[in-house]
Amino acid sequence: MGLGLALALAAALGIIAVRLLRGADDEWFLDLFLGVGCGLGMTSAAWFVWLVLFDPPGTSLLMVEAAALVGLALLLVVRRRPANSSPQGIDGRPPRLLLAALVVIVGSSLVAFVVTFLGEPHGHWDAAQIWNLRARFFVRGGEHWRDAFALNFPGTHADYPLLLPVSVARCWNIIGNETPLAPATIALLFTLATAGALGALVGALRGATAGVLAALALLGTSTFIRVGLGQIADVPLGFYILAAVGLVCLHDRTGDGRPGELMLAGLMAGFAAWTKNEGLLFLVCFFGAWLFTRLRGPGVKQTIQELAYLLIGLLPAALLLAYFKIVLAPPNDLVEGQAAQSLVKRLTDPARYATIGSAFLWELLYIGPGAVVVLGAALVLLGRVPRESRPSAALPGLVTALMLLGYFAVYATTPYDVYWHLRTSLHRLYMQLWPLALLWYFLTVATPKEAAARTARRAGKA
Amino acid sequence: MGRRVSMALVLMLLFVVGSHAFLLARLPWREARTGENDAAEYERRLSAIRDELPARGKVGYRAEPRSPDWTTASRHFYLTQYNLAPLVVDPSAEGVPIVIDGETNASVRWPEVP
Repeated sequence: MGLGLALALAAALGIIAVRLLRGADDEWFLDLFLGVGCGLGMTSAAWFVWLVLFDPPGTSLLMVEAAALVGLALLLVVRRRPANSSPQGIDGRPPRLLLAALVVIVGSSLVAFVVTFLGEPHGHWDAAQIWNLRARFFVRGGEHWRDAFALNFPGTHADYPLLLPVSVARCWNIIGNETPLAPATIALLFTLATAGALGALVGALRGATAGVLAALALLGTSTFIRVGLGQIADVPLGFYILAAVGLVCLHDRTGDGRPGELMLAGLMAGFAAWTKNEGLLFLVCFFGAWLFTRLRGPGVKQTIQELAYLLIGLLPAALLLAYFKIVLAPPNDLVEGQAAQSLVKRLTDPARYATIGSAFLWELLYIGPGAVVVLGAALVLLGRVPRESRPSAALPGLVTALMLLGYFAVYATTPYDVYWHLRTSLHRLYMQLWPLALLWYFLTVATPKEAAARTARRAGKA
Repeated sequence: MGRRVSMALVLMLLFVVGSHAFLLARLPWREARTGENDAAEYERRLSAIRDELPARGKVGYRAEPRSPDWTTASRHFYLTQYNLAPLVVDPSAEGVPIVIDGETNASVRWPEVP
């Protein structure tokens, strides 16, 4: 009951905030799924601020959250309705077979959740070693919660940002006990919300059938479900990466200059950085790729204006992160472990690049397993989106490529044994990017309806 | 719907079904049935000594015998830290109570008074 209340409050806050910022009257599914992650990010940020200012918040913060919910709900009721709503979908209802498959896969994912929770209630290795451990310090430590950052062993990663452990601590604090159901349910919410957000984003940009196929492809990837249910931060990070890029794609689609969508994209990008260190890499890639896509775009004045909206959204999480990194976090092990001489040796070792390259390739094929092969074959069969209805897929494609380059550079310079580092982390890093890669894919591939129309046209010409 | 479109959809559906069969086969079914997992085992063994330890601060750590496998040894250490939080468990700490992570149970060794 308490857990349901804590999570429902977070989700409701997020859904209303997303709805207010997007200002759209339709696309409820999109606001629902984006709102779940947004709400968890917002409540995590609020709980952390309270923790820093007043030590453990008790249940007093719950009252503030409830008051904020009432205030936002009133704002939603009285806000001025936008004159125009989003464009209609490209095609109608998706085929029943696809909807039935989606229901079966969601059911199978829920079975996986139950079995994983019963078999590994404290999550995967990293959950007990990093994320839930930190949450225990925040709840059990009382006014000494900062002891969490005295853990200075490489595996505890005390410099990792805090969105996930603070979310878990918030739930435990509200419930009054440390049930492992809290981190497990948060993991499930992020997993389902990521698939839902991907489906809704693709649905808004490419039509309902493509949206259902995208959600199926993500939920149907076994690696994604295993990593997602492991109570670790990679899928939450993937959610925020997808949300930030997807919202910019939505903004570019409507072209009506909704600043709220860009602010929301900035907020989501900030939450990515508040989730994991790779989120900082994402910020660099995201803003770099976004500016690159604007080179042929709307002109300097509009670009500066849009950049300002993105930065306004980014600001809250950026401030939190700056405080955390400057005041609380110990140095990062990957940076601290570097010595100039050995770094040069690593960077000039061609065998190292071959090792990393082949691991990247094999791990890519192992997603699913075989997802990349199947999606490649489907692209050949369906063809690309017709030129006249092609949405811009440049941003998701570019961000994915830049992030992969960044990961490659981290492995090339890691002070740890590179084989061990690749074996223990690459599959998780891929799951951070998999939702975004699927967004790019489904913005690139023709929908079944478009492919059928193209085939009919060709048959007519023949 | 053309043949190519049907083939693409069937391929995707087969992938999804196959991938979930792979997922379900690799789930921790046995642990889910028995409720046995290493985190629960460490919770049991460390709850027996929790009252002997201070409420907060630093404690030492020794595994006796230490697992020759580095991965297993570090897993045992981190499970100890996970269960004893908010205590900071530090294998190099001296002059503090030391948690002895034994083969079947845990105990506490106190620093000798000079």
